[in-house]
Amino acid sequence: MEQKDKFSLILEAYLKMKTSHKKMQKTKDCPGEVVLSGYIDSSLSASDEDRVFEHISNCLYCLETVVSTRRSKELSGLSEFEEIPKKAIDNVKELPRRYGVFSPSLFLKKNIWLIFAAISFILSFAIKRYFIQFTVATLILSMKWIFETGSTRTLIMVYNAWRKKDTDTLEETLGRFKDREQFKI
Amino acid sequence: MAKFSYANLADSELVARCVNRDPLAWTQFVERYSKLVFWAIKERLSSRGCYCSQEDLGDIFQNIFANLWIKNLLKQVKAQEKIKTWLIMVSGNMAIDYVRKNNMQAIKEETSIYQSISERLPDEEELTLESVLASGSGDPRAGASANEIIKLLEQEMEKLNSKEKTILELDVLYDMKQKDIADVVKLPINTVSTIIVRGKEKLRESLKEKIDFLRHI
Repeated sequence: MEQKDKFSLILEAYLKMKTSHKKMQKTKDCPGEVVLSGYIDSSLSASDEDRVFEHISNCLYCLETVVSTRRSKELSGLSEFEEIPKKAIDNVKELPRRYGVFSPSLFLKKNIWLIFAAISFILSFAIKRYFIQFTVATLILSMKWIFETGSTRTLIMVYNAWRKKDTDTLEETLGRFKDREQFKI
Repeated sequence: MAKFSYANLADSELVARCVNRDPLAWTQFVERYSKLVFWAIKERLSSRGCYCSQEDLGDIFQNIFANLWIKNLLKQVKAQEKIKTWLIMVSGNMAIDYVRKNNMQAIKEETSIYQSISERLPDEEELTLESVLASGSGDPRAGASANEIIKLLEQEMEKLNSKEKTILELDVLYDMKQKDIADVVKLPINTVSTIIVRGKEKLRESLKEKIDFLRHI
């Protein structure tokens, strides 16, 4: 081990003393894991990177999260991973069966225009004075929902490819349908 | 046309399918990343001086995957092709939280990696300014000078900006290589090297100048 000179030891003791006062605690100002991992991967914008750096230079918790994750990431490429108990693996694979595949937020995201259309439709009867306006709004929102869904886009692509007799695109698009069918997407 | 297989999916596509609640994609995700997650748990816990039984590690592992699926946490990931870094970080943080919540082992709030490393060296005397100053100097003023040195170093450190301070901390406390520090602070390695050399030199000179018995450091 390299022998440190007295100055290095003084500096180390001083910094250790200063650091030991800082709490290793997450605060509400700490960036989330998405931002911190983005910082490690250098995938943030320059201004975000500066903001994160400003934070980690004053927050021991985040600095250590960045340092240790970075080190783990580097070591993971060199390490031999050990086998995990089969039971644990089987249990986590079973999660979709046990907890289902329904996600309220995903449902909301996918069907937000449909929900608005339904509200508008109900309002068209509730407020008779604006029946036509709400009906038009319902139509527009329904169209928006229809065009936002992936299957409609695919149908349009099939139609366009068929009209233009573009066999390559047609085959590719039909392949997407087959995949969907096979894996029940 | 090439036959479709989940095993051949790119990371980003696989994660996107998991977010869309595809059970087959999830099975593939578990197969692809379970070893990394298990390893990241062990690595983070041991870096914080915490060692768990294989059974506890299994519980933590299942808890992490359960959180990923039930709360659909994968949807948070924006750069899905860079899932690995996020997964290592989330696994480590969740492991620490799990150990803390279940009182499996005490992890002090203030324990940093640096401190836990130094605590694990039984033969090593605790490093304090007083012990450093007293060692080998034989100077009776050594103890009394600790406060003077702290004050002086504080004045000098105040002159450094946050980037320079962090670089010095990473170099001195974490004993990181300059290449790694450059990566953490997002600066060229030459700049980091210059900051370390100049910063230390400046601090050394100011100590030498103002404190008589440290002239030889």
